[in-house]
Amino acid sequence: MKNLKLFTAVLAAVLSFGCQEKPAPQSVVRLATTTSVRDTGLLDVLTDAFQKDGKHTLQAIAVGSGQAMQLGKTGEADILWVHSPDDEAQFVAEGYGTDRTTFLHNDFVLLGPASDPAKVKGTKKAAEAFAKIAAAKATFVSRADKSGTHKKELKLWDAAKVKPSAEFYIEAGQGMAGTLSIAKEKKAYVLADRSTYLAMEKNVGLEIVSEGDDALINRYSLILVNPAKFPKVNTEGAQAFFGFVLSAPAKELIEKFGVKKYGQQLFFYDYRIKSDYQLK
Amino acid sequence: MIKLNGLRLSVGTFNLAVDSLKIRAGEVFAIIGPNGAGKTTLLNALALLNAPSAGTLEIMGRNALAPANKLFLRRAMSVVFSQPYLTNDTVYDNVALPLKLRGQKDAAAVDEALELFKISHLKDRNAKTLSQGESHRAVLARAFVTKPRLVLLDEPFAALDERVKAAVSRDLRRVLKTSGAAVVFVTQDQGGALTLCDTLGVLVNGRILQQGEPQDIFTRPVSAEVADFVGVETILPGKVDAKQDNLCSVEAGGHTLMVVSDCEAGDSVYVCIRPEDVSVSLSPDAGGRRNNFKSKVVSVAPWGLEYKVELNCGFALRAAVTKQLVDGLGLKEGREVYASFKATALHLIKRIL
Amino acid sequence: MDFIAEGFLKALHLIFSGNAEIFAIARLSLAVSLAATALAVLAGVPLGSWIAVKKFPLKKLLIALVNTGMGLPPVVAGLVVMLFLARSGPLGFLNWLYTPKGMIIAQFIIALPIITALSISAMQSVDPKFYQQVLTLGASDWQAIKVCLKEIRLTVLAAVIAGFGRLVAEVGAVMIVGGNIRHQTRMLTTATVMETQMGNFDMAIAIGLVLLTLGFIVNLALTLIQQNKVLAR
Repeated sequence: MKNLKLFTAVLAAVLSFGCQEKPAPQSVVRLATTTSVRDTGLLDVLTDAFQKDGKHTLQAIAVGSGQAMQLGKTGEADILWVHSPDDEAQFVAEGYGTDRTTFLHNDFVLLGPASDPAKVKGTKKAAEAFAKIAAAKATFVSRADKSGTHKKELKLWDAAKVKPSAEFYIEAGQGMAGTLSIAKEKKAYVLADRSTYLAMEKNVGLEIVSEGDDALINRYSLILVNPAKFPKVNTEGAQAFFGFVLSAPAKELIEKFGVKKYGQQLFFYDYRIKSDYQLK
Repeated sequence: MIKLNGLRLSVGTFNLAVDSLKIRAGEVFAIIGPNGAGKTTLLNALALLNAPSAGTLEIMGRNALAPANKLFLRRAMSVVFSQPYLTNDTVYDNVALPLKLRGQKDAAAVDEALELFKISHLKDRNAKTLSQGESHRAVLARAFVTKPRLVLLDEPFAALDERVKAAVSRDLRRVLKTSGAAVVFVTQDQGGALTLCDTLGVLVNGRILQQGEPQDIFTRPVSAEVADFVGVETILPGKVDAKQDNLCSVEAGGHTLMVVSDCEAGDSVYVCIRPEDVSVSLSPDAGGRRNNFKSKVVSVAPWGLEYKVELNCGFALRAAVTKQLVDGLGLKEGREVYASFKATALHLIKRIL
Repeated sequence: MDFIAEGFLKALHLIFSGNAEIFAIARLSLAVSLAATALAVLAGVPLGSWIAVKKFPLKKLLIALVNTGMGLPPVVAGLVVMLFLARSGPLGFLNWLYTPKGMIIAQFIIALPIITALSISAMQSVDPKFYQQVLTLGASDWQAIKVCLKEIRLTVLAAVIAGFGRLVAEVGAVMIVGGNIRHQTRMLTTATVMETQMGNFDMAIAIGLVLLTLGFIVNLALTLIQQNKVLAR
């Protein structure tokens, strides 16, 4: 019997110790966002800043934009931060989201092996680069997860008037970091957002073979999940995060992000701040 | 104490069918039978471990088959199996376990039980380190610590060797006598049964063929089956009057019998006489045997390859003789003959009363 | 080979410099898996013991089912729990998805059949006549089970440790139900996956080493118990 008491005591100690280090705020905000936002490390920085006043806990689920919007469509998320403009528009049109605000951008880059078998280097137009890759049947790794990056990539194939065939096209079904790892192993071409590329550059082992095309601009938006459709949504929390991101302190954090480490800005803040949100 | 009626219990392909069994408070009842007769099955039914498919069982006035009574009755009886099942604890903890299960603590009772079976000096030893005899004593001490009104024993000494068995059963006998509990025990050892019991039941193939006092069963088995199992013998209750060297003179059946035995003067005994050891002749003192009695033939019947002659010499005596002898002596009902047997041919079974 | 060696050395450095992130993750993994194991023991040991000693129709079928449950893929358990805990799911009001509580539930479901099945077999190894003897001593069914469990406690303990070892090593369920959220639901296993995918091999190896060490300690305990060195009488 005394063994049981000892056991329960240990259990109680472990549970209280391990599960939470300080009392958690009652308001939990669920943010569905893209892997690029997490993999660059930007999400961590903003999460810490947002949670500093202790009023909210941010549950940030990093999945692709497509999956994020799927979570929004079932009311599983309170707020979305995604980068898939066509899908976003449809999402709002169908009544799932409100207050879509495009506030951030970076750009995509086409990465490839140093050997550049498809001779893509120097090609200015992304669609043209894609066409060359298809012609050379050089290995290309796709996100294949309905994310914003994936949607952009599909658009470029369309523009190149090519349907990539299975013999050289690999569908990873993963986030940006995972997809890049595969591309590195296969010495393949891959479309990535510049910020993730910079954050992982030392590990990526691929070079930029094409960049700068307007078609490669990547815009991020915030969307509030429609509380009218999903009463369970934490509206107050979602709006708090929304307000926080679209505030001067957040703008500063975002613009400063990565400059010291990578020598360049990773994300470009487009939104014109209206309100006077103060960070504690 | 126990009233059983129409009990039916099947275990696999074996069927136990006991129509009636009655055991009084304080009575010591032995169930004997060959291997596979169902003795353990019957005991398990009495111990409330196996529920019968038909019949009634009343223990201490309560319906033993009612689930509501089960725990109460279990706690009023003790069961001892042929293997000593002890836990990996001290002897003291083992013996105290029945009390602990009832939510009681009684150090005096535990010490008493240990003392009864002479294992007080072992109380702090781990039960798994005990010898065979010590383990059986521990199990018995545990059985008596709650001062049960009913004790069931399933071949309690089967696993012991002779010397250990003698010592342990001596102590058990003593305890049974003083405790006044009703006892049902099951055994293949007929001699062992006879030393302890008041009444006996013969169980063969799932049926009790005969119940009653040992004498009745051994001398007047109701069927060939029973006779087969018990071995047809004459048994006479008696008392050892005197003893000289190793020769006892036993007062039994209205006569004095001379028997070579270890029993002591004053012992209550059964005198057992095998039929093949009885000599029948027309004149007394044939062969210089110490035991010689004038008898009258009551009946002569064929028995296997021989003949069974029932004699009356003041007590019923059975003799096994050849056909030649029957013809030669002209043995038939009413014939006056002499029956004799050696002092060494008899054996005495000590009784507890 | 170089980058492996480099990663390994950096990993050792991370561990021995007491990297806070790694140890926070380890603490959470331990807490979640221990809690799930404890709950599975509280439910599974009595359940398994009961199934082992009682006679009832379809007993063999039930035992077969429990044994099959031992092979339940953790990801499937995670998927089912996620569907139930999602806001639109039947238990959504609990708000346990993407929290340690949710992960504990998922791991509990994984561990329960393991602990139950091992309890059944441990209990079945007890001589049925021993169990009967304990009943005749005046024990109720549960008292008798407790006495028998005490006799086989080393076997039961081994089962518990085996169950815990499985939980601390699984990744599928805690990934799906937890979401690998930094400082909230990031476990040793999910962190390893993430760091590996991001190419941070030093971190990945460091976390992997911590995981291996945990597994080693668990198995060491198991071996010692089975050799009867610990808790020996």
